[in-house]
Amino acid sequence: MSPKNKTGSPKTSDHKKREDANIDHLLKQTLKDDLPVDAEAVMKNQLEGFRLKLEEASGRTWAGQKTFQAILNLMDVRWARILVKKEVVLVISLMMIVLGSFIHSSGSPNQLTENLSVLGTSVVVSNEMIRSQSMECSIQMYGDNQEPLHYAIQWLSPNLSKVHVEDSRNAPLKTIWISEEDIVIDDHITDRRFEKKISTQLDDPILKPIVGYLEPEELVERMYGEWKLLKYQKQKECAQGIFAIALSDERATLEVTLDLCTHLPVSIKKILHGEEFGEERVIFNVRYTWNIPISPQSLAPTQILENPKG
Amino acid sequence: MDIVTTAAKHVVLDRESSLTALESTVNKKESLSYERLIAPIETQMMRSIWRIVRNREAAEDTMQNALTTIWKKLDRIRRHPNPHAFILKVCVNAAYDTLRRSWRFRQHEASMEIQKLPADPDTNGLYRLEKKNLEIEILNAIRRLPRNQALAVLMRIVQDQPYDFIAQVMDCSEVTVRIHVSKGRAKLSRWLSHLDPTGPEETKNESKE
Repeated sequence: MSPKNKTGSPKTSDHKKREDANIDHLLKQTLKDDLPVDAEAVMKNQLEGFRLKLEEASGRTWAGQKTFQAILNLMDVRWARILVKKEVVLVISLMMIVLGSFIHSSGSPNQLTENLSVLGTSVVVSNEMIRSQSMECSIQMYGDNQEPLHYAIQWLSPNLSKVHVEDSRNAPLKTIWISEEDIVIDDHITDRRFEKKISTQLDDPILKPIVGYLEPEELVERMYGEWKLLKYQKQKECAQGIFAIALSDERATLEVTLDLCTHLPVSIKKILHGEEFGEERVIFNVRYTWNIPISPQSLAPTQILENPKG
Repeated sequence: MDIVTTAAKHVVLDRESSLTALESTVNKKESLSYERLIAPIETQMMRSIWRIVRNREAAEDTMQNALTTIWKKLDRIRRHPNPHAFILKVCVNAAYDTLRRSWRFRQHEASMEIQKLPADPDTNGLYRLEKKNLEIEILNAIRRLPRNQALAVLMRIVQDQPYDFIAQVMDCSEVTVRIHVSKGRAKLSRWLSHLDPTGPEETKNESKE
């Protein structure tokens, strides 16, 4: 039943448009963009306070870590006198992590424990990742009721990335180039190219699952801020260490395998736990190669496609 | 023995330089977070809150609530595909909550406005009162809308945001946003049909003449 006006006849499209325009005009005129100076000053103060709070929080974290660093340094000296090997530092840090996770699991909240695990992971792994110059990784993604996707990512310090996405039959779906300012996306299905500013970055659903794994710093940020260590296991025979990490907002764990010679991740596996999945289901599997030579030219967008299909 | 001591010092120095490098990187990242996430949309945040709450104290409370939510969800915002949209949603949401919460205060504010008028008010006084009443009536109507319709109407009609942006903010499709706007507009049109859309401006112009 179409809406009727006061005379009982159906509203015409013009009448509806006029009515919409009237209500829009009424709202715009009444709720004007007329922020007064005093209200603006108050809110600016609040924002400034927020900026300081962020900086302060960052400083506090490091103050805690520095205190613990002093203890750790003493330990380093004693151990180093005996063994004088860089691996010892790693062993100490990892022992701290295991100790930290043990206290975590026993349910006693302890700031020192937090510092221990943060320090351990930060120093040994994060530092190496941040210092890395290039990275290649291959991600196999197994979605819900979807074909598995394959992502090949190349990253060159400080901020050049290329992501190539293929379906399970190796047919290319998308290629994405990310630089400091721009994102260029080639959609191989429609043969079209899109260019975006970095501020509108990565709203592409195909990229959503891998956000956070595109650059080492993003990965470090997650390890530093979000992930909680569950356990650590060392595999002597292949000089690898495996961290099991809980994700704060999901029923999933990450299995991060480290190369104990380079202190860099070799692979990350995300495993979803739940009765509805039977036992466990691997959602994605990432394999890393670090510090291999990559030329910046190879990460620049290829020439624009000449004959788009439509 | 000397070699061992030198090596031990080297380990410590290596640890210190590692930490310093990491510290500067993380500090830089924290400040970059503000610069990247909030600084570019500071004005938009303040204005989007003001256009909805239209009162200094309420704006201050709303901004405080919005910043608290942003603080709690900072990690999520950092890895959100469109962090600016997410932050603006937090602001509009907080403003809508204030609107719903502070309704009684609004009514009180209107009655105070009447009390402030002199016994024989001039045209400007009457204009101010009429404007305030109109504002309160419209905000009351928006307050009565379901949350999604209210957010869509505020962002589309009041703040002139494009549909695709609102869709990102509300985490739904553009079609859904259009439906929210259309339904919200229809309800407002019905509830506010007795108002002359050009009312206060015309009155103002007439008074000037």
